[in-house]
Amino acid sequence: MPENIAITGLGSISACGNNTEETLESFSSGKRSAGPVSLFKTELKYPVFEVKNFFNKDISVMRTLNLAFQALAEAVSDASLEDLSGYRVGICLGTTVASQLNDIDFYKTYREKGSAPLERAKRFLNSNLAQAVVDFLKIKTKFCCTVVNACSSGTDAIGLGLSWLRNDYCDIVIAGGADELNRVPFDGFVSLGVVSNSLSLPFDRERSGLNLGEGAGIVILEKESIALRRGRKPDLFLKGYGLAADGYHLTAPHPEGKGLEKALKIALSEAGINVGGVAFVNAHGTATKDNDKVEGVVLKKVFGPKLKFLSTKGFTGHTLGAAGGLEAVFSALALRQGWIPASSGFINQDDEIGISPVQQKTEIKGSHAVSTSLAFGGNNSALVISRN
Amino acid sequence: MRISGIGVILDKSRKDKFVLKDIRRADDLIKMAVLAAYDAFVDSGLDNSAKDNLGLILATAFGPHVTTFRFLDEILDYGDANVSPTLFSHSVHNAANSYISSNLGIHGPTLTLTNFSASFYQALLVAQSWLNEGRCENILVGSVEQYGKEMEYILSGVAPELNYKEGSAFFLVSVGECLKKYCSICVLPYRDEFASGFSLATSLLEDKSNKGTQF
Repeated sequence: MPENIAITGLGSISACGNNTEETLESFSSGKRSAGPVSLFKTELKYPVFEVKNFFNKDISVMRTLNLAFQALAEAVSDASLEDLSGYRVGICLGTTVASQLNDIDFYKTYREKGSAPLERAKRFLNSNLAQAVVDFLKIKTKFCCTVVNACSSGTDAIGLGLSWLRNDYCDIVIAGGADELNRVPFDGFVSLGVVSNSLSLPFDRERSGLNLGEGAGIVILEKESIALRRGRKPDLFLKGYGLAADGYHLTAPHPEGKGLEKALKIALSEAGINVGGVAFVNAHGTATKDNDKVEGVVLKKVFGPKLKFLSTKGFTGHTLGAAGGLEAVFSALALRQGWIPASSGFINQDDEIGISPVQQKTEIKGSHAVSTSLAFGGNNSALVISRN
Repeated sequence: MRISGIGVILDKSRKDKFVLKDIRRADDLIKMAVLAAYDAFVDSGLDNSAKDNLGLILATAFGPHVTTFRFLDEILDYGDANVSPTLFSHSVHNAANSYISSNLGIHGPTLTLTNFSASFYQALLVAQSWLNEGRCENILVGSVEQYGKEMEYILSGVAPELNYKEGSAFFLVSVGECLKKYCSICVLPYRDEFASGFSLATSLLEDKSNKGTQF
């Protein structure tokens, strides 16, 4: 029987809190912290979920990295793993923004003059997310992977960490995702016509698109035997991971959600649980017409109409590569706390979906949670997180 | 795991009408990756029934930077509100995998990963772990890079020793019985030296002795 993979540390930073404690306060109060863009100049007027009261400590790397370092510090502290020496550590993190050289100032200068100071380009080259965390922690490892599966990157990074541990490549894997709010993807998402000019309404009949956000969510994955050996008694476990491609379209999900359904079934099968054992689903729930319709219909089909589910993007905005990391952290916190927050923004059921997310802070019973991610390119991913 | 199919694209001007009709709007990075993946799948001799749970792993250092710069051109020339959604969607790193999966009809797990060094090695490690877990029986694993003058300028300044080229190499790796077998491959997690997808493909295509190899 394969060894249990424990989750021994959680760290998060997003518009709903600069750590997990602040996040739970926001979830409990239902407070939404969106506002106009302040991080860069833009002519576009759309609400965004920026992280507040946060300053980039290291300007030699991108803001995405600074967000990741903040969540990393909390997760490592939560796991009491300040000293990683003696362990085989892997770093597996997802992002979108930190993988692209989308520095407008650098490129503008280069385009006009045929040359530009390379410091900004070096900043990009210093910002491969997983490699930067390896450097930050001053560890040596061959298991250093930056996942760029668009909006499912964080979920897939955690799933890949699970594979590394099951294959005995590592004792401990630091996994999750991070992304900053950046002008280039902001313009890009607006051009796609999927951004709302008001606060997003995930799964609501009147939803009109997503709000972008930023943040980082990090989990410490650890073989249970390693955690026990260092005196920890884990209560949270990563039990299953499913990943399946739609093979359908570059930006739209398969209309019947075939890839998502497959990913969910794989994750549940790996976890060895049936749908009745799932206490809640933390859905991708971006509030776009297409995503929520497909996802909602699949959730109803797989779990039935009485499923408790929510989208936390009403609190964080869509944080792209960070979303899967953040939502895994939120799911784990909810299992530990015994409640999930109201699915912020939802009011009216969409008859085309046929089920509704929770509308108030809701007590949960059961020990298994599912977190889903859907992405550009037709990626569909699901994690099963459990509490003993 | 066994390597049962290889596809290498170094000439992006190749006109392959059957494959290219579905990728005519794609950028050169995507075209190279699709053609290499297609060739590797065909070379393996697997039939279409294998596609339902065929894995797909793509490694890249810099991804679609040429398209990203074209998207920046749009922001600079036309402003935030007037940029091309097509350029944006093609500037995302996993756009190439999306084209491969939709053109080949792949419905298994797909992953795009990036690292400025040894990304292909990481991809092989992932492939080996997926095969070990039984996540899939066959995986297309490959790498792709595109040449661009902006990246040439940057790399010539920060890493002049780098021999910066473009192309794509894909391999069909399997655990089950295969019609063809170039070699068995064992990816050693703690080996210090890394090889690129191109060098592995080149050495395998030149040496058909079918000897096992460690990488």
